[in-house]
Order: sequence, then structure tokens, then C-alpha cells
Amino acid sequence: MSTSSSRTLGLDRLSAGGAAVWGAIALLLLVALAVEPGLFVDQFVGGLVYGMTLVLIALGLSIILGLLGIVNFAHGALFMLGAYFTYQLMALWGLPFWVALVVAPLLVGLVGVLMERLVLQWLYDEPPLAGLLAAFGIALMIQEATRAIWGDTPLSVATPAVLAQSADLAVTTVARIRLFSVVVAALVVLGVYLLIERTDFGLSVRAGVQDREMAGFLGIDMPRRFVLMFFLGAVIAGIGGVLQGTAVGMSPTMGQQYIIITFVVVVVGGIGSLFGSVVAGLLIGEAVFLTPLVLRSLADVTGVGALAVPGIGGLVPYLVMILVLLVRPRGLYGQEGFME
Amino acid sequence: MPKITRRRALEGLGAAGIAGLAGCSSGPGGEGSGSGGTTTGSTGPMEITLGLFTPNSGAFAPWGPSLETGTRLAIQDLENELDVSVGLEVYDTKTDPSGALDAMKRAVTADGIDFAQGGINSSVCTKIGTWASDNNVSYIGQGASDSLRGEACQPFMYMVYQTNHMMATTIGREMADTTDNWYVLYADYVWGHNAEQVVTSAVEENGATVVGKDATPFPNDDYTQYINNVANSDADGVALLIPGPDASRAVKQMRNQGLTDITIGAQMLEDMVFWGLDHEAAAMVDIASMGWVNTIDGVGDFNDRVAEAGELDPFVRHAKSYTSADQHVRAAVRAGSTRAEDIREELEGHEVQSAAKDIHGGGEMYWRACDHELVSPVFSATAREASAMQDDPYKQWFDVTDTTPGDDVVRSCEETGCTL
Amino acid sequence: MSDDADPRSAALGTEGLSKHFGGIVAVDEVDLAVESGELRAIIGPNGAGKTTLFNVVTHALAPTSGSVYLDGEDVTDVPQERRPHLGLARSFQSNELFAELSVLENVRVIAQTAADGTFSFSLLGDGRAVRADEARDILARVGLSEHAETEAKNLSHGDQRRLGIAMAIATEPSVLLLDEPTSGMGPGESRETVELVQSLQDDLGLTVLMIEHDMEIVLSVSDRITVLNRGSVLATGTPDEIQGDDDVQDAYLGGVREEL
Ligand SMILES: Nc1ncnc2c1ncn2[C@@H]1O[C@H](COP(=O)(O)OP(=O)(O)OP(=O)(O)O)[C@@H](O)[C@H]1O
Ligand SMILES: [Mg+2]
Repeated sequence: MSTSSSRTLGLDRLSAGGAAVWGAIALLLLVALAVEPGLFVDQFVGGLVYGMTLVLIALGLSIILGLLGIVNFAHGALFMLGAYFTYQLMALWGLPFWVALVVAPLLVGLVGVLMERLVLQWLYDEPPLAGLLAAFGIALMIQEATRAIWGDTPLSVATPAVLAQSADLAVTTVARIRLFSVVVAALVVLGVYLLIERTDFGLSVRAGVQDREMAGFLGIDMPRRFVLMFFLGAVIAGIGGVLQGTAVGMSPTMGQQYIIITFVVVVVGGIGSLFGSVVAGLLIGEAVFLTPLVLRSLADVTGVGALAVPGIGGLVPYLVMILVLLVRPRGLYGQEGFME
Repeated sequence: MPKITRRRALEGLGAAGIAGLAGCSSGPGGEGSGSGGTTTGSTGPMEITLGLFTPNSGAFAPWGPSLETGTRLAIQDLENELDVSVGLEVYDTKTDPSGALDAMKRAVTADGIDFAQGGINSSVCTKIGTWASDNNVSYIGQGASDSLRGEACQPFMYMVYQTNHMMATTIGREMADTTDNWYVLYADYVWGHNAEQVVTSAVEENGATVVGKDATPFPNDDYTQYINNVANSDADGVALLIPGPDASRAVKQMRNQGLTDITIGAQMLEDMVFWGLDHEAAAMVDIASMGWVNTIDGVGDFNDRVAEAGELDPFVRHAKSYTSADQHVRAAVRAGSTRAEDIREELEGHEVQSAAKDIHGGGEMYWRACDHELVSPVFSATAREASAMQDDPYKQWFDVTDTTPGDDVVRSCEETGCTL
Repeated sequence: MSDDADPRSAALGTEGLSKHFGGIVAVDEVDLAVESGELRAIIGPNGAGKTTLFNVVTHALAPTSGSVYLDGEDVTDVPQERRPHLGLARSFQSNELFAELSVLENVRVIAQTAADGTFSFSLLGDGRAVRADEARDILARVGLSEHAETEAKNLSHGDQRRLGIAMAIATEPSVLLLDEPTSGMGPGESRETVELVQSLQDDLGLTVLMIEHDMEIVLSVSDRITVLNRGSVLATGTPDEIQGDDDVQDAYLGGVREEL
């Protein structure tokens, strides 16, 4: 019987080797800070913002995977739908961003419920592969429907005036839409935490996740709870889609593109751990933004130009994943590893 | 119907066209109805089946419909003007080159196409072009990569799109003329690395400086960290050597992040990818090198015909597809044959005189024998003010500021590394 | 010898209750009439049908035939998940609990479900959520207060059995079925557990049915004892009556009398 707990940080188990790694990372960051202080601050804040975007997208996936045991490959498609519903509401129907921010996620939630009721609910007791394949099929269907309805060309909506400028944070400037995304993401994380950990509803869901049959015997209406959790996961994906679509634009491949990085976040954080997804999202965000800077500073200091690998940024999430899984196959805070 | 077309052809040809018409009756360099005699004499119109390879799925799917529209317009004009009947078979190049290759094999062996065209990314062009050449099928592609007219060139493969090198050299010169300190963002794959080298050397040769550069992942949609790098440098201009949709995202994010004073230069910009942006964001592009743009003088009614016929507003791929079909069929008619050898003989060294030349503004365009490049002018353009952007009946967002003759920026035959 | 009372007026009654598994008759025409406040022991050799009897009484398994009455009401067809609301609760022979919830949460989730507080969203305050106070009371009663925040899977076996009892009484039942509450415990711990059951019964006014193998415990705490053998009731009576019953002696108790 495992004695680990999803609530312990797991860092106490790190060996002296682990401490050395952390020390080395801290040293590298200090070098970068010393060489380019202004840029370091910019990138640090940028990494935080990007990380929170990843958290928002990964959270819904993490909920559905952790609670329902379904690898919801369609999560990326739901995210994409959030963006396209935003386009429909804002660009085609002329509604304001704030309406889209509320309505689009609810519509995505509805699509999520349909998915769960029509398909996935029948697969809870099947091997995980069945759910994964079904979700994958749904993802393709949604993607093709999106193509058919809104076309292949990348689209965008005008960022609402208040969010279109940059925000001056004294140490750096950040696009306001990004900052807004961070605030929304933080609220969503907090809300999900409170719902799952601090409410009776959340408690009954957690119980059902551990032993659905027994929870049923005890009189807990699990099907209704699963639908609600699926709705919630889809709504969160939709919120991510609205914000991403407004900040960056939408294309039929955005779902595919994001589902991968989202899996990386969930795996690094540890399957089944919401907290892990949050930490992993921030970690990867920071790593993506700071690694190139650190390498460049290091190249400056040592004079070894080869250290500043061009284009390393795109590889960083996967490097982080490999490193974390090598040290902790179950991810940072996971119960059972994907790889164990 | 033939009457109208005849008139249109005459109108379109202009002064240079008359010379061309005069030539058509005699010289092999001319184009026109006369020289297709071998087939027309005995069996009625010459019959040609053209295979078009177009991306209808995958990352390039947004471009797909434009290839077909451009090709069909050309066929319409050709059939009206020449004694020829052109059948069109359309194939999806799928998302990967091997899917495209399968389609090419099927097209040639099962469907019996006479020659092929289309393909917009270099990996697809290389794959299907190589196979076509190996099997004696003539193929005109639209890849911009230099390797297609370098180490990967093929005896029966031709390219209608201005090369990456030509575009990068043009934008590099423009950049140096515009402002002094540049930051270069380039896509982290072969195309981007090549462009970065060419642009950097063009900028420096013309007296300006590249103060910093970053390779950006592709595809990518968060450019914040690169924008941070730009903002923290001494640059007053930023060059985007990034494929279209990503470049438009980068521009939008610069605007959102408040980096609005900086000069933006974009290499090989296809305005279609900017049409998804709002006017204000698109208006931030100061200088761009383009293979074609619908505000070129002399484009005539081509824009209206595209707008009527297709789902996409007129942009470079319409013009290039039109040109491909126009040149391919005319060469076959002149040769009286669709054999790859015969078409090659017709195309090599041939100077374009048809409507394809007019829609490109009338500048010199010719098929270079050494690498099978259709040497064409490169257009420099700038985005209009947001308020001046036209959306109906089709979008016109960019204006031409300069036209650089192809010969000024094309690599010399020796530099290409192609030995045809 | 059998129950004299009418099953339809008892706290818990059964009439002709049977459960067949294919050819196996696990429970055979069982009549019970357990009076309010009684502590009834169910004994019998392994495989006698004791757990199956609990399963059909709680409708975890549908009976093949016969009826179940709670306070005179026919509840034979009330489905399992409605039982907690009827005032009927059970603990399980094996430890059935939510391993990764805390001890307190295990009790809370049952308490809130029984109270039908399924959609209350109490986010603030010391109690954290509805029924938290009740849950803490229950933990105090069974002596698990100090382990309230421990994950259930980290409890000792004995504490897990006690948690099972706590979870059963969290539904505020009037009738409590306990399936071998002392199994796997040493003699001292068994004695404590039985005393716990007795005190719960006194404090909460429960009617208790308890399957138990330890004859010493059975004979000392039961009001009445029902002996099952091959699915049917062999005898029912006070500890004295049962000890004096020849059938039981022959069939089951063997040499117990001599030992006593
Ligand atoms: N679900 C089932 N399917 C088939 N047979 C069953 C099932 N449950 C119990 N049985 C059979 O019914 C009979 C009674 O079993 P039960 O578990 O009720 O006995 P028990 O008296 O509780 O025994 P123990 O003292 O070992 O707990 C046994 O023969 C058993 O194999
Ligand atoms: Mg039993």
C-alpha cells in the first residue's frame, strides 16, 4: 500500500542530488538576472502569464482525467469551440466581449454534457483506451464541423478596448488581455479548489471517484455528479478558449496544437492532482520564458556562443517533462504514474 | 463568348502583348493559337488533362480553394482563346508529403493526367516534383524554398513563386532603407534560417544593423517572450520571417503589448493570412515583400473574377495558380504535345507574354533554363491605414510601394547549385 | 423455538425471506422479529448465509422471495440507495471505506447524503460544511477524534472497523446491522468494540443485529440469538435458551457447554 499522499509536496523526498539540481537552477537564474535584469523581469512575468494560460487549459482536462478517469482527448476541441463561439458571438453577431466571456463557455459546457451523456458515460467501466479513442473521435468530429462552419482560415476578433492596450506593471508592461486571463485563471483555480475540497458536493464527488459502486450504495447520485463535473471541465476549457481566442485568434488546428502541451502539463503535474497541474503549468511557463534567456546569459558570461541554442523555447516543455518523469515517474504530485 | 474573350485578351496584352501576338504565328517564343497545329489540324481541339495538387486538409488547408479557383480561371481563358480543351483533376496533398505522393502516383498511373501543378510547401513540391520528373511528367509547383531550384531541382519541375532568397533580399534592402537597427524574428526551420541569413546580409550590406535575433518555434502562438526581447533591445524595427498565420498573431500581440511605435517588416507576406485580423492590427505592417498583391497596376478584372468565382478574396495563390495553368497549357499548345521533354523545350528561356504577365503588373517574367525558376518581379508593399482598407467586394489592405525586377534579386545560376 | 413476535410489528422483521443463487439456497425461508432496542446476535458456521441475510435485508441483493418490514412497513422493494433514509444502516464484513478521504470526510460524506444535503455549498466557517459537527460527534463516540484528519487507508485495522461503525451510524439509523465488527481483532480490542456497540445502542436507542463468531462475546452481550444453519433458522432465543438447545448443541455449538 502506498503511503504517499496527493497533498504532500513530495519535495522532502528529494535527495542531496535533487538539492544540487535546485541549487544549480537557482544559480543559473541569478546569472541571467545579473546579466539582463530588465529583460529577466519581463520574461519572468511573461512566463507567469503564459503559465497561467496553460493552467487554465490544463485544469479542465485534469479534472476530467482525475475524477472520471477519462483521457478526454476532445478537451482541445472544446477549447477551440470556446474560441470559435467567441468569434460567432463577437464578430458575426456583434455582441460585446463580456457577453461572449459568459455565454461561450456555457455553450461549450453544453457540448461537453452532450458528449458525456451520449458517448462517454457508457465507457466509464471500459478500459481507459475505449474512452480515449471515443474522445479522440469526438475531437475530430468537432474539428471538422468547425472547419465546415467557420472555414479553414485563421480568424480573430478585435480585443475589447479596455483590454487592447498594455498594462504598466512598473517593472514591465504586459498586454492587458493577458493580465486579465491570469486573473480569470486564478479565480477559476480558486473556485475549483473550493468546490472540490470545501463543499459537500465536492466531497461526494471525491468519494464517488474513489469507489463509485459504494458511493452509489450509500445513496450518492453519481451519474448526476459526473455530468456536472464534465460540464465544469468543458466550461473551463471554454473560458480558456474565449481568452486565448481574444488574445491570439482562432484556427481549426488550435485544439490539436494545445491538447499536446496540455497533456504535458497534466503529466508533469501528476495525473489526478489539480494542484500538480497548477504547479506544472507555472513551471513550464517559466521554463519556456526563462530558459532561452538563461542560456544566452550563460553564453555571454562564458563566451561559449554555442550555449545559446536558437529556438530552444519550443522544446522546453518536453525537456521539462522528460526531466520530471525521470526523477518522478508519477509526475510532481501524482498518485499513480502514467509511466509506472 | 469568344468575341468577348478575344477582346479581353487584346486589352490585357497591351503593347507588349501585340508583339507577342505578332510572334505567335511564326517564332517558337511566341504564344497563341496558331502553333498548336499538330493536334488541331486533324482531330479538333487539343485535349489536355491537368492534375492540380492542392492542400484541402492540414496546416495549409486555408490556401486550398484558391489554387483551384486560379486554375479554373486560367482554363476558362485558355479555352476561349486557344483551340484546346482542358480537363481538370483535383487532388488533395493531405497533411504530409507521402500522402501527396500517393495522389500523384494515382493521378499519373490511374487517371492519366498529362501534367501536374500545385503544391505550396516545399516538402510536398519536392516529393511530388521528383517523382513526376522521374516518370517524365511535367510539373509546375508554387514552393518558395530555394532548394527547389537548388539541390532539389529536377529536369521537368518548374516553380512559379518568387524564391525565399528573392523575397528576403528585397525586404532586407527595404528594411535598411527604412530604419537602422533591426531585430529579426525567424521561424525555427530551414525556410526561416535561410531567410534570416539572407535578410541579415542584405540589411548589413545596405548600411543598417541587426541588433538581435531569435529563432521562434513553429507553429507558435505566444510571441510574448520574443516581443519582450525586442522591447529590451535597441531595435527600432522588427523583421518577421515567420509563416503567415503566425506572423499575424505576432503582430496582434505586439499591438496588445503596446509595442506600436516600432517599424514592422514582414518577409513573403501573403495578405490572406492577415485578413483574419482586425484592421488596426493589420495596419501595423510597415513594409513587406510579396509575390503578388491584388492592388498591382494592370491586374484588370482578375480581382473581380476571383471574387465571383471563389470563396477567398484574390491573393497571391490565385495569381500563381493562374500563371501555372496558363504557362503549362500554352507551352503544350505551342509544342503540340504534352510530353515532358517537349514542354521543357518550350518553357526554358521563354518570356511570358500572356495575361499572366499583365496581372503581375507587366514587368519582365521569364523561365530561366538553369533552374526552372519563373523569374518575376518582387513587390514591396505596405499596409493601408485602417480606415482606408477595402473589404467589399473583396479585401484590399496592402498597397504596392515598389517593384523590384526579378533579375535584381534572383540568385545567379551558379549560386543555385542546380545543374540542369 | 423461534421469534414469537409478529414481524410486521417488530423494529425489523422478515417473513419467509429467501435468497437462491442458482441451485444454492443461501437464505431459506427466514422469519425474524427483532424488537426495538434489542441486540440480536446472528451466529452460524461459515457459509451459513449470515452475510447474505444482511444483503437481502438491505436490498444489496434482491430477495428471491419473502418480505422485509421496518417498523411494520413493507420495505422489501425499496432500493438499496434509499435504505439510509429508512433508518437502516450496515457495516461491512470487509473494510469498505473511502481509502483516500480523511476519517472525518468518510463520516461526513455519509452524514450529508443521509441528510440529503447533496447540494449545499457551505464554503466558510469552522464547520466547513453541513453535518461536520455531527460527524465530529460521531468520531468522538467511536474514539477516532484524534484521527479525524488521517486518511482512512492509514488507519490500523481495528480503527478501520470502528470507522465502519461510525459510517453506519452517521446515517442516524434506528436499526443497525453489523457484520462481524470484531473480525481480525485481538481479544482486548474485540471486547472494547463490543462495549462500544453496547454504548452506542444505549445512547442512540438503536436496534442492533450483529453477526459475530466469538461465542463468549455473543453469549455475554446479546439479548437474543438467532442461529442460522444452511440458510435457515435453527433456533432463536436468549443466550441461556440457546445454550440449552439440543439442536443447536448438535448442529453447531459442539462442546461449548462443557467448556463453559
Ligand atoms: N453473490 C453470490 N453468488 C453466489 N453464491 C453466493 C453469493 N454470496 C454468497 N453465496 C453463497 O451463499 C452461501 C452463504 O454465504 P454467506 O457469505 O452468506 O455466508 P456467511 O454465513 O456470511 O459466511 P461467513 O461466516 O464465512 O461470513 C455460501 O455458500 C456462499 O458461497
Ligand atoms: Mg459472512
